[in-house]
Amino acid sequence: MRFARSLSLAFCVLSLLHSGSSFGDEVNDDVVNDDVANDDVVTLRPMAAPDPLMKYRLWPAPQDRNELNPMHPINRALIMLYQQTPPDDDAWEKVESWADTPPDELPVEEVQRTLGYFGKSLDELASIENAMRIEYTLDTHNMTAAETASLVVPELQDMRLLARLIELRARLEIRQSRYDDAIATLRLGFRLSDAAGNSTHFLVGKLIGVAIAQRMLAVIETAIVRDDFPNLYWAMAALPSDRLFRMNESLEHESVLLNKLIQETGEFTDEPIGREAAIARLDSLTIAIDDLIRANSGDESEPELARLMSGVYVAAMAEPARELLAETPLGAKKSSDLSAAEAVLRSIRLRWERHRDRYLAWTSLPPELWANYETERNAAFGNEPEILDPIDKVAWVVTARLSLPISASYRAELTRNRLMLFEAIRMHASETGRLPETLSGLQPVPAWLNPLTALPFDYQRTHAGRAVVTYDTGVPATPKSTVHVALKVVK
Amino acid sequence: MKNRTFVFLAIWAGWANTLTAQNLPEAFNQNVLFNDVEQRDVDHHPVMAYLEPATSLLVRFSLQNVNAEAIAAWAGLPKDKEATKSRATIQRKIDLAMHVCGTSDVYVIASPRSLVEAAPMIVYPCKRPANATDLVRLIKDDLPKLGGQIQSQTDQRFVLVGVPQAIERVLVPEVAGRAKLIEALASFDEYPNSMVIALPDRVRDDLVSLWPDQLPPSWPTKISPRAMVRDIDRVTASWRFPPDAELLVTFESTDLAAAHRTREAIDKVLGHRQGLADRLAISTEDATLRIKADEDTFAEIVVVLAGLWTELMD
Repeated sequence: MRFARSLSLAFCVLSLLHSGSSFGDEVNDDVVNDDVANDDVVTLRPMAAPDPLMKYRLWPAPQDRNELNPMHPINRALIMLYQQTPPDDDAWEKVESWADTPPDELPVEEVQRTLGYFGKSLDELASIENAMRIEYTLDTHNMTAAETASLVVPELQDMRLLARLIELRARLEIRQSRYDDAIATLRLGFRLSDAAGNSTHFLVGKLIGVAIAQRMLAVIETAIVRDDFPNLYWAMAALPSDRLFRMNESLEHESVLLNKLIQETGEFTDEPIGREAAIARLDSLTIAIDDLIRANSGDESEPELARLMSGVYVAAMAEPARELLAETPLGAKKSSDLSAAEAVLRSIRLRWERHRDRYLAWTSLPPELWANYETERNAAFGNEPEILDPIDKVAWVVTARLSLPISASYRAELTRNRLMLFEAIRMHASETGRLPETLSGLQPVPAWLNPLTALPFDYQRTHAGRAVVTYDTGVPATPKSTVHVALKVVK
Repeated sequence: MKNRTFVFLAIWAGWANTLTAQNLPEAFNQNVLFNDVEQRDVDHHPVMAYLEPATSLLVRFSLQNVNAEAIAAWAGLPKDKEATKSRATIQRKIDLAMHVCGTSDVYVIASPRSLVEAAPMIVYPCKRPANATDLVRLIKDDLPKLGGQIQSQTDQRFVLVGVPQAIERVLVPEVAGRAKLIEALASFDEYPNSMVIALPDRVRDDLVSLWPDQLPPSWPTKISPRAMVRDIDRVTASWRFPPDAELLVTFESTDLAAAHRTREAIDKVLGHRQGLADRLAISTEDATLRIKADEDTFAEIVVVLAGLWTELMD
């Protein structure tokens, strides 16, 4: 996908992530509202851990994992998907609409028929279940910045279509109380999430992977309120957070584009490279930036315009560049002796390196430590500030605005941990017949922390069968807001 | 501002200086046209102290006898309520400026780095600099996007308005060697308003190396930016508003051959507007090309510049 489309897709995926996470939250919002207005509650039934404990798995058991590559069957499944024309023009619209339909309200026969259209794809996909060696090379290492930015990866985007089918099948199986089948289908969904997120280093791939995982968790959320649905505490505990939810590698990789541009400036020592060499490097950099911008906008390249702008930029920035370099080990004397072209070129490299490293440094900080460092975090990867300097603007465009994906990845983990809390409560209720007085009193398994804050969920039992759970959602618009969930145990 | 507009402005700014003049100290590099300018006038010019080595543009405005509404009517600028109100505001500010500071000319100076600082510097000789605070506030009101960055400072009998770092720079005593700008103003003293563009040698030299030999193919004009910046030493525009409105633009080239190439390039530019060349009085004297515009053409240019200013402010 082209860079602009890639960014658009990233934001679409983020929207999906929001919808994915808010699916669970919607349920809870309803509960909160209803709790206040109608005294309704989310009803959790007691359910002990399975025997043996790992009877149900959302992630392949160690003994089942093999060294096959899931990318081949996924791509085959996609090709089959494209070839399978559903007889119903609005089949995909229906699949979308059923995604938010409670299992008990699904039109079983129509869903079965629709899934039947795509049977070959789903059959092909079954072989990825235990295929753990994800290998998919796009050779971006040897691409220019513009080539990287305009790379098309529809195979990642369309994994969302496969995920929709998996999700629908799992909902149908839950509707039919075929829980073992539903859990196996969900396991397939998490494997698809893994493949989407880890087949490349692209952030967009990771976002798609996290979005798919979120959808699978949303299905689990609809299931664990059912009378006899197995307890998935240990199955969710076995989901590998680093692999499914965390984005550190992808976030690091987002700096690669800027790094490719940095490489275009060439290496420098303390000795000047000379005016002519600097002009030649500057020209190469000018064309690389122009190509990148054109790859983004889709416009025809106009190197003459780029060179005009480059000349104006050097004229305007020569003195500020020398002043910047004077503050470095190069020193004032050497800096003032540099040609304008070399001073500007060196300053571009220095500013981009600073931007890249500030970005890399601050993205590695986990969200629970963000609270008091908003200014620094925003300077590293927040919303793009108003920038006059085109060179700074390029750096921001290729790396910025990452607060949302980072917190989105933690929100996916938050959903998992919240569902695990419910499962822990179901286990506790199964043993004691009531809700725990405090979360520290949960038995026989503990509640996990809210990954956004690294703090426990706030839990208040109002009486033996009622409680309220409050937690930080990490939603940027309401970062401090909490969602209340009331719980009721029915023996 | 669109890229093309920006680049046109930049190219306009780049039409200056000569490669051959590089080895001469600028203070002694008097163009033949300006031999009659007294060096004393240059050295003692009030804004000389505020020029930097990189200063490339100097504008002198006379606020005396400026009637904004009359100029607008002459140029055919919009007469709607909003525009009229805006001009009335400008007129009040001009009147206030003269009340506070007297009838001195106002100077605007800029260097290439003014492009990244997003503002030139205003130098206003003022009889009561301490009372200029209100005036500065009014200037800021006209520049809402930059208002927060612009500051003022009084320096003896001058009020300086600009970004803080630019003010700081010009207050450091330094030999700027930019007499080329001042002497042009002095030479066009018969006009109340003048603008001079002359890039420092090393800036022009860089542009010669970095700019392409042709404009982008999608642009209508086929001229060489590289040749233009190499051939043209200094550009001066001088004008007076009605009554007796007049605009004179001069292009001083490095030598006769350069002047010939400059003439060809300007003919190409003018050729894109049918009949325009016929309405201009173009003459060449040695290496200097003089273009005098009639009142109507000058009025059209004012309309174009007013549009550019509006676009810039938006």
